[in-house]
Amino acid sequence: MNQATLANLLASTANQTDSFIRLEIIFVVLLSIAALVAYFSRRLRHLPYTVALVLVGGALTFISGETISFGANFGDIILLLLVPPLIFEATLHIKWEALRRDLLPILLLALVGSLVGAFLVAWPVSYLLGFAPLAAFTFGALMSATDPVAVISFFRGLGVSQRLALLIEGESLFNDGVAIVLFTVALGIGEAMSNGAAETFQFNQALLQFIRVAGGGLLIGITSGYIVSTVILKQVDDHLIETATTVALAFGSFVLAEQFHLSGILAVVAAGIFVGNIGSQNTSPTTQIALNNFWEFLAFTANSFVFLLIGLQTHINDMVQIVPKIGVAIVAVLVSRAIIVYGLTALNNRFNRLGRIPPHFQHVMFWGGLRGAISLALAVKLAESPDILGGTVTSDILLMTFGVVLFTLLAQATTLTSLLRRLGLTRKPTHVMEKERQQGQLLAKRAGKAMLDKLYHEGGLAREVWQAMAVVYDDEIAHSSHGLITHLQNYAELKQQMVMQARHETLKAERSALAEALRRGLIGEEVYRELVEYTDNRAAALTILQHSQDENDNNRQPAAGSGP
Amino acid sequence: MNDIICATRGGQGSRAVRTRAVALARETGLPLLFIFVVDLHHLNEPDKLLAEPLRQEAYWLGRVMLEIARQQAESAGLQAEVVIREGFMREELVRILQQRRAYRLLLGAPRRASVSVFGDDAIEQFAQEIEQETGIPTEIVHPETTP
Repeated sequence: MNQATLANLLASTANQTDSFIRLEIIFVVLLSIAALVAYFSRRLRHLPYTVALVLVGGALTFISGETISFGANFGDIILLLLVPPLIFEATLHIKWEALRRDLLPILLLALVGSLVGAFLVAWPVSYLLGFAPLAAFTFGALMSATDPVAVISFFRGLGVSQRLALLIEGESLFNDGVAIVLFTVALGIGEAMSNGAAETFQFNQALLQFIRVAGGGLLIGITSGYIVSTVILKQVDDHLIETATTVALAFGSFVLAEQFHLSGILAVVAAGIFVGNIGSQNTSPTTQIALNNFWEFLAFTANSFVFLLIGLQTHINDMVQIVPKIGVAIVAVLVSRAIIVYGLTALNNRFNRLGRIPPHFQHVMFWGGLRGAISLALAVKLAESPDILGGTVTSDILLMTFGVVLFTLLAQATTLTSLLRRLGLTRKPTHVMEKERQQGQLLAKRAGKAMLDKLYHEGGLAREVWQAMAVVYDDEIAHSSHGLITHLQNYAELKQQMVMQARHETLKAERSALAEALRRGLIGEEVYRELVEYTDNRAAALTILQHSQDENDNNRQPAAGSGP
Repeated sequence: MNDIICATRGGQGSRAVRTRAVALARETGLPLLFIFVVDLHHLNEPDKLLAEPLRQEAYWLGRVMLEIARQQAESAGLQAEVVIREGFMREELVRILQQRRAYRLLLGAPRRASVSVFGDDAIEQFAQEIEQETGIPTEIVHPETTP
């Protein structure tokens, strides 16, 4: 190796080191900003954390007069680095039973809603702003998906009902896969047209491509999720290895699907649901705690970066120049969302009476249709190839996307809490919270008393000390017990809820007892399967009854289940 | 015969209606009967696989609710009869009222403060229909009326 080559190599290494250090500094600064914003937004309470991040990012860009460069494309950072762990973490908490119950409306909104939504947004954009149909449809495709990152991060903090959160999260998790496919199809047509290779849109081909991309992505996710859940998580009992494997799964399933030009996001969704439902059952309690803690931290970090980056990439000065166009885009997106949500839920309620979506849920689903990182990432990707749709139109689409995203975050997200409160959907009712509080206190005190007795019987306590402490504990237990009984008398329906909760627990215990009996050889595989199926069906039936009861309580309809 | 029939389901007005039924039974010395109707018609054709488990589970919950009612009566020094019926709520209530030539039917209503006018009307209408069909007085008990 001659001297010149060595110098080049050293210079190149030094440059690489510099860029790594620069990246590290950016990482540290962003994480520090995120932690500060999180701290202050928790104190302010009225301002959602995600919105605060966007505002801080936007303010920094506005003050500095330029957007930050990361040495990589903004769209790639969002789509390839930050979205997979966020989606994976979100799906880990989705229970298949609950998802299955509302799968029809979720898929209706995700599939039909996204497709119809793209056209509904495209039409006014084309008619009023004079965009070419393909450009307008590309913008419609960008806007058709509610963003899981924006939606989930927001709904987590609000404590809305699990079913409402699942409906909105489920739709947002599945529909961005559809939006990305629609966007890719539109771009493909645009590229072909600009090369003079195609002049007409072929619906059949687009549909086939959609089925291939979405189905293939789901298949990769299911397969990889199955392997990790049944091989690694079942066979290995080491929380560090198991946690590392889930990280590899989250990114691996995404990358693998993308390599085959399939939907990486749907692959992550399927893998996450698999691990959350099957894999977690195959792990020890220690691993479950480690997994939850790790993914909670990773999601917090990725989520913070996503919204901070949105703020940092916002071109306020450029946006001001096309305010009317952004206004048209916002109205188009809102009207299209209203038509989709109210129209498709009406259709669902007509044919799926068991899974009806009450009107106040529909209002939240309409106003909670936030747009975020995925729309922006796709718009930035579009801006990388301005020749496809034309430079001015591409620039307009990028700025309009930023405008709509900012509107949904600053206007919709900030007023969603008020809407939920007006509709009586935030948190649980006070009397339910009070029951839980009293029940929790009673359980805690009983556990304390049990430990006290154990300590005494094991010889760890002097008799006098045990007796004195036991008297105080018994007194507290009696007090708590009396408080709970009185509360249940005032709110009789809570007793019914308690019966149903306890029934869920006893059915779980019955199932565990069957597994134990099988393990000890008291019953064979065939009987075990038969009895487990019976128990599972009873549990599913109980959930339906509970669901129906909740719906009756919410709707207060004179159905057979209501009344006395 | 001439029973006091108290329909129970476990909703907001359940304790109030049970308390009123127990008080009425003590006041009149008439036998007290608690009824729970397993009515799954509002579920509107659930999954066939789950039809039987749903029925079994609803029965299971009904037995628990009736046991709660029976214990409440027992703690007031009364021996109450408990019955589970299956079918349409209204039809089953009418049937048992006629079979027992009941003295009165007691129905629990939801809390007034938390309920819409529509909900109040519905239970009133429900009670009126039963009363017209059987000629047996039907009383609606609200949770607020019981201490």
